[in-house]
Amino acid sequence: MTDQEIVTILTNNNLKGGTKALKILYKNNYYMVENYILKNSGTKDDAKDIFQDSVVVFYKNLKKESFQLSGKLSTYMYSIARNLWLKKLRDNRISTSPIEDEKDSFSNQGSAQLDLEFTENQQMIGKLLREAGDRCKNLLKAFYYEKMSMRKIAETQGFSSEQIAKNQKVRCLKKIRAILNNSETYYKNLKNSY
Amino acid sequence: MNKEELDILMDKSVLGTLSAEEKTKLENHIMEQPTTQLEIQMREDIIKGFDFNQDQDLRSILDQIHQEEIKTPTRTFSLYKFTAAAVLIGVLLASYFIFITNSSNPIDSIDGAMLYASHYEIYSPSSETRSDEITIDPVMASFITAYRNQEYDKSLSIIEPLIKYADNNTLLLAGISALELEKYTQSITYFDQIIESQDYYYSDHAKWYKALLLIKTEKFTAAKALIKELAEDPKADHHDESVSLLNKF
Repeated sequence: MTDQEIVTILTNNNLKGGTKALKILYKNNYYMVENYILKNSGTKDDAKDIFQDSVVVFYKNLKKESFQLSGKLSTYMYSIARNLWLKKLRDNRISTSPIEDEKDSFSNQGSAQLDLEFTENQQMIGKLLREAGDRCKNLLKAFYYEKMSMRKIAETQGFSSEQIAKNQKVRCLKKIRAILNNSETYYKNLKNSY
Repeated sequence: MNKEELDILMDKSVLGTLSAEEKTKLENHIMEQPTTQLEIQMREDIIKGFDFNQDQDLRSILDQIHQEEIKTPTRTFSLYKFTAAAVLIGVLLASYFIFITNSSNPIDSIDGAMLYASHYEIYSPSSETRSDEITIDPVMASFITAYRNQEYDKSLSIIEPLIKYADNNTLLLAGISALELEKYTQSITYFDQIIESQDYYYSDHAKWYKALLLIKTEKFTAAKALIKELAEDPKADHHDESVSLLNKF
């Protein structure tokens, strides 16, 4: 499977449909990243964490419309992994001077999206959405996450009209709001963030 | 502003599609009704919540792939690790020396580990074992099974006592097992035996894997010579990969 085939499969499929491509991506690039981490003060566990974070970043990036692979995928993965590892070393205040000077064509691209952390509230809502039932989950995901229009959602998710889909969205938000209203943690976190 | 209009403005806010006029309208509303900000924040958290779930699902798949595809080290390699570290330090010092004495050499800029990783693929004996070499010997069967299962420490320990009787197919698998375990000297010994035998079928594979080993250990000049041989022979196995690799030196 070529680099471009991997990108195309992962772009056009959901995670389940892209598992084979992910497996090839993993096998083709893991040891390269492991080797880099081990050479630069890391352990095999660090290598696993950094490589998996790199795949997550890569996956997020390729779902963006602007994504274009302009070089080898291995170079791209290496670049993301290196940036993540340098960030981790900096966060842990470990000297990075021997490896900071490396540059490649993906240096900037790889560092563009390194934010992999979620707040407690975001994680809470994520879990809540999993339990919200398929109808609400699919509708909210299509609207807020995939930025699909209500008309398209009505067509693809079997609502008889755009207005009925809109009404359903309001009901879904109400349902989530009702659950969150019973969560002291959520609103406490929310108020603390302002 | 009615409920429906407010709902639309809040959605546009989280989706980033508010016009300047709508933005002002929403900001004025928030001044009057500060709890609107909490509702907007909830909708933003919904987007991040889906993001979080996707990350979790992806990480779960990656964990499974790691478990299935990536070999875990065993304690028997601790001595090896020490040796490998010593070799690595030696290679780094040698590289540094070469850099100091000949900083214009383009080979200095090559990352051996990266180049190796991007070209190395595990050799599969299933499709390339010649019929006259298929064995039913139980020891050989367990050797090949261990190799196929990527249990290279096991495959190597099975074949080492019998290596002087090994044919080229067995030598190749033993060489790759040793390469996987980063026992480079042992690996090169097996590959060299195949290359010296001038077996047209296996010597190309042996040259290819030996070249990759040399790249991994950053002996680029020796690697380049082998790659060049394969690249210059259009009938050679790994010819196309060698042509592509040669361009990187």
